[in-house]
Amino acid sequence: MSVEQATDYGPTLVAILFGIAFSCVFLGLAMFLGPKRENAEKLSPFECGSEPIGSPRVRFSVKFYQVALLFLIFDIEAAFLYPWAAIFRRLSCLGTVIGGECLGTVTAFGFVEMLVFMSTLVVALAYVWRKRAIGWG
Amino acid sequence: MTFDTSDLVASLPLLFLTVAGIVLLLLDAFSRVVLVGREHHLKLPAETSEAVAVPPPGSRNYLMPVTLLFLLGALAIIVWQVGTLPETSVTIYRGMLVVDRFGLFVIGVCVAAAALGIVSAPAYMRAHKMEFGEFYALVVFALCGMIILVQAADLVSVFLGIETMSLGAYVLTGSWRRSARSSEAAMKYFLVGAFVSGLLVYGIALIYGVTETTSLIDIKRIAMSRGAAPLFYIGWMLLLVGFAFKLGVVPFHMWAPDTYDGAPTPVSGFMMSCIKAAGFAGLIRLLQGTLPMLARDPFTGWTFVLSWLAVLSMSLGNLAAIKQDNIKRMLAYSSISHAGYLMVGVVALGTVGDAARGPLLFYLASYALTVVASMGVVSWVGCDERGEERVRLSDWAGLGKREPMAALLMTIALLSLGGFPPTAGFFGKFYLFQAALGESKLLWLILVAIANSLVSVYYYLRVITAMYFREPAPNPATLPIQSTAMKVGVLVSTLLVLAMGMFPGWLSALCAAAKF
Amino acid sequence: MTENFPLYLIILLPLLGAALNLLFGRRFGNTFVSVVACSAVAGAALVATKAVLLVASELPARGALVDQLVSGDWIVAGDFKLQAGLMLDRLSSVMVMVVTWIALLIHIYATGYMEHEPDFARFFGYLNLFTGAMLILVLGDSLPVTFVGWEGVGLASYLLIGFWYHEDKNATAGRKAFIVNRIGDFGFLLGICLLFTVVGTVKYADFGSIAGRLMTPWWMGWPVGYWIAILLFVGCCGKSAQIPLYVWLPDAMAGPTPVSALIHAATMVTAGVYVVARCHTIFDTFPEAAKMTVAGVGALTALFAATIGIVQRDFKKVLAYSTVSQLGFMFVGVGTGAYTAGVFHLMTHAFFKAGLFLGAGSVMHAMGGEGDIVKMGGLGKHMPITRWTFFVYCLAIAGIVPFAGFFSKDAILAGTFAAEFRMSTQMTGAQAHLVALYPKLLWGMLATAALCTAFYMWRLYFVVFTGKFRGTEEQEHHLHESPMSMTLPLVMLAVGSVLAGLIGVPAVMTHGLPESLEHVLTFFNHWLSPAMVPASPEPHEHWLEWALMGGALTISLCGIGLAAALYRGGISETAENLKDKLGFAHKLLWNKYYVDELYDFLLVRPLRRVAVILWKVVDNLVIDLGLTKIGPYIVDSLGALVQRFQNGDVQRYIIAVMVGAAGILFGSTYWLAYQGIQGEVKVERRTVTLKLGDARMRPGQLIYAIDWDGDGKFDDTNVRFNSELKHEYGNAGQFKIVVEARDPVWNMVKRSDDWFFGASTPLSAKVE
Repeated sequence: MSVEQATDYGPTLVAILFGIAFSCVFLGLAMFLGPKRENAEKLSPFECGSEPIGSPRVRFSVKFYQVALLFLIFDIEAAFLYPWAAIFRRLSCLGTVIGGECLGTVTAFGFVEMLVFMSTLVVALAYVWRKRAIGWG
Repeated sequence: MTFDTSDLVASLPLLFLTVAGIVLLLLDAFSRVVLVGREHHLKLPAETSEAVAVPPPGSRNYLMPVTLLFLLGALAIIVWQVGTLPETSVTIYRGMLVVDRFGLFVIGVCVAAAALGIVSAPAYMRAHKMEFGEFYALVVFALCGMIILVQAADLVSVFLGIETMSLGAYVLTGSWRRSARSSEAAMKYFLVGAFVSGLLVYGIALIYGVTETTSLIDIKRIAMSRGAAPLFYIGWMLLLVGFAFKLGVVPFHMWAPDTYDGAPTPVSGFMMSCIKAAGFAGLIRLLQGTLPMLARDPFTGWTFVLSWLAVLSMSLGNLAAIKQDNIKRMLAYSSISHAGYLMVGVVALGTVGDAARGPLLFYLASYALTVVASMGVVSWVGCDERGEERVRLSDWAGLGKREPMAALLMTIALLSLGGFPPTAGFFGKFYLFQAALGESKLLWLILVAIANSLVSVYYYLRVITAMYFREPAPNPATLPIQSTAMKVGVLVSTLLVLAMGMFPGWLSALCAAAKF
Repeated sequence: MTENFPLYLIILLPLLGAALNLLFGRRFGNTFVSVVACSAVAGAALVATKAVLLVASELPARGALVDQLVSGDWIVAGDFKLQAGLMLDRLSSVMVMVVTWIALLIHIYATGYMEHEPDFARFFGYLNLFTGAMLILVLGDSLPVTFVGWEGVGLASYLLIGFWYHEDKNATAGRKAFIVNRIGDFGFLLGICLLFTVVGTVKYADFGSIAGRLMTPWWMGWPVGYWIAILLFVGCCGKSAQIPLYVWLPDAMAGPTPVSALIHAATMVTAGVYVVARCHTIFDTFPEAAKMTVAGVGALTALFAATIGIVQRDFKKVLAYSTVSQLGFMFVGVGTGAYTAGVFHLMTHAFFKAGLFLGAGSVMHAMGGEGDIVKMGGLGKHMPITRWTFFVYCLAIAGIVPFAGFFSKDAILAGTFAAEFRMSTQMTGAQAHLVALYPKLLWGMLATAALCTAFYMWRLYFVVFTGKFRGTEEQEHHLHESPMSMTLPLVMLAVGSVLAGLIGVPAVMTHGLPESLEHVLTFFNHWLSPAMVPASPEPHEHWLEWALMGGALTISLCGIGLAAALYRGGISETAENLKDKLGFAHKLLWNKYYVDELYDFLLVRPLRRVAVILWKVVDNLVIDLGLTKIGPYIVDSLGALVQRFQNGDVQRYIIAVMVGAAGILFGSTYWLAYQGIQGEVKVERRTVTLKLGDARMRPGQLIYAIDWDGDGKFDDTNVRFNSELKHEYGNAGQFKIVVEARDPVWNMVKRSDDWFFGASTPLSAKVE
């Protein structure tokens, strides 16, 4: 990397340094300026104003993760529909698209593509269904 | 938006296997399950009394022949495609994939190795009391990833292929859920793998940042005309790190012993043979196909970097293998050192050029088959009454008497790994080193490789000595797995190893014809 | 002229039989094993016969059936491309017929002979393996394929000699055979390599056109063809038991008798003769010193072994020395250029010698394994079939008209007498005279050997089958004729021994006979001669041929007469007296000229001593202590070091990945890490030109500072890569130039007088 090129990254470096400096300064200010009057109440763990009952490290059912994961997968794949919808006209058009009008032949390409995609989702859904990953019991 | 239906035909192996994977997945999902207590299934404390649905033992066995049929079908398609392929390569899906003889050859090797490997799965799963119906679907999905990787003509498809392949491998590694070591192996492999995937994507991003394209052809054009910017170097070196990780090359190998050792044996065999073959094919396409002009730079050239990776891999892999008492783990380290030998081949590709590709492919094919054979025997040797694998050297003592066939086949496989004639391994090494000798500068590297293969003989022969010359333990609680399919699979792969060693001509002609 | 034919079947069937018997034979029992073994060989024999008939009917004299074993190239290594194929021409036809049919007879015989053997399946597996390998040897279309078979028969022979490996003696004999053969094989392999390097082909089909290239002078003024021939002949000496490598064959009799008959009499040991005939183009290289060597070694062996045979007491040992001697005859045949005669003797010998061994087996079977002929006697009464067939074989090997041995031995003797060796034209008169005399000398040796042959064979016959039984009573009680499976092959081989010679009757005897009969009687000559160029030597005058024939017959009759006089009806007192009178000669022969002791003294013991030194010094000190203690210690500690990083900690794995990635990035961008500063100084009076960097350095990558006079201060700084830098010195003297290079990426610095990591060239300038 030459010196000239290094300068291209200058602003980034400045931003990083600024970020570090900013957080350090404000944490430091709070530490130095804030009054320190400690008592037992203040030093006890704080949870909605009352004493915690039992250990906070309990075992969660793996189901939570499972559902969260499945949600993520299907959610992201559903999100994929939006960009598809946005370019649907271009996908379905052999030729140029001007103002939403196709100047060539209209094909089913975009539609079929999404059908293929959705059918793989259906397979996935069938699979998780059969594997009882959706039900709780 | 236009779409060329001939692309579908050109990518038929991929489409076929994708559909096959889906079919297998659904077959498993809709096969019979029984409800058992969770604690019974996962060895959990009995506090959770919910019932889970598990496949009854042996209920998924029928998936193996189905998968085998699918894989043979895919092989047939590949053979048919090789026959109808035009001389020049064909780019499909708008430059995402490329179909050529090189890719088809490697895919063929992967599919064949997978087919020879899965036949031992049903017996293995039954013996180890793990019924995992998704096994077959995952193998097929991983194969799809390999096909994408091997045929990739774009960095995006490279990434897609690697990830598809790896996801399958992660799950397969952890598929033996009752075994803590299997889960540990999968977890480690996944964590480090995810981390390295980050590096890989970062590399791709940097390359895209410099060249404004992800197409390998365009990258080649730009790198040729404009020269390479420092960021470009960093980008492809990160990419290299990603590949080196998947291939288990030192110093990115740390996951390999744990993973290969912990994973169910058929999975280890599948990973060692197929992932290695596909990964190297991807690497060759990336380095020799895209960046040949950067090969011979004295220090920045990839031959320089790779030759040191090769030296490290060969030496450390062998050194660590010597210390092993666990045969599976020993084979894992041996696979690291073999990755080193293969790296010598990639270096030769950079210096000698196309002449080295045939030998490299020969080595890949011979190694893949040998690994399948040896891992098949490891499955065969079986487990004790608790379902623990018998992989200690002491468990194998006297195998020549107890299971003469298994011992004989293992001997052949080990001799091939050590590079003895008349096995495939001998000609693999011979051709590779000979091709590398085309450039006198590589002499030192070849000497290191030869010294290493001498060292490796020590630990291969140790197993043979144990099998034939050591008295079995007084109470050999080993229950060899008796499965015809498994035996046939091992036998066929060993015979192929022998055939390739005795009649290397046809395969080396095939390899030489596997051009980009 | 070649035609395709599935010749692979001929070798595949016995090999399949071997695989079946070795893998499953134990499980399925003896009947299965016998059926598989015999039918595999029978199948091979039938296919072979069909193929030979094709050769006879469809192809011209020099045509061949071919079969590509491996499509494309078998082995490719650089320029070395080798195809593997099979070939059946007239020469290999003879061999194939002999091998398959005699192997079949011996397989059948062995089912009877070995019936009480617990390791029945292993025996037949090996025997089939041998047959397959022998057929590869015979059918190979190039020397390397033949070599595959060559090694295969060597292995099978080793396994079968040591078949009863529980006895130390047998295992030692097997080892001896193997080691002696290895010596020969080494020469053989060298010969193949030399042939390939100099001539460029190892395929028999190309041999017709290589005569010119064989003349290339190579070493010590001899043409390369001579050296190739000698190297190949070393291999033949090993396999075919010729001086000096014959010592293994008598010991090889430790194996089961059918093995001795098949491998160590009829087939394998004749492989050397076959190879010489097959490669005759090489042996014919002018000047024909190679042929003289072959013939000389053959004649010497023939005489040498025949004399030893006279006094031996062990039934099979006598036959073994007889085999060595007869092989010598064959080598004289092929060595004098009488290829047809040599191969003909090979064929007839296969019949009667296999028969003799099977007869010996039959006798020893009856005697409960006893092999000492002094303890036998009068067996003719008890085993008539064995006796009379043995009678026929003895007539045949002694060379009595019209038995097989007569015609073939006569052909060799006549050919030898008439042979002329073409040597250099610049010989002095005396030298030329010696060369002309050489064939006559060979003839003399062979004639003496023939006398001995007739004597020891008939001594054997009389001692064993006539007179009174000299063994224990229990043995006498046990005497019986052998079962059908054993006597049938004996009878068939006897018929062969009578008839086989009749297809090779010399032309001079068939004059005036009806043409069809003449054609049959001289069939062998017509069959092989056109396939072998040049034709065999023959005496020019008819009277000479008759005279030689008569001489040979007389010699044989003398031998028989002598044997009858001394041994008819048991060992006579005269014989015992003679033995005492000729004490020294007898002792010499009885101890086989002390050759084993000589080898022991000259080779084995010195080698042992070297081995002991190697063991004590190299093994114990260098290997055990150095390599296996210190080496593994180093390797182990390195391995332990590697393992310490491999402690199962994922964080550490990721750190390794990071360190590796950083190392790659650093290593591939920090050029100076590995490389010194390269520079070239040119002095032109006071102007010094410095050229920095070489082709390996990327321009514009480094920034230099230069100290021209070595005072530690940099005169020029911030110098970018430049092809040449000039400096003008104010005064004369020797100046040290120091260059400092800075890597702008890592901001690291290296000086040209650094001593580590990559040699920098020390730079200095001497200014006048």
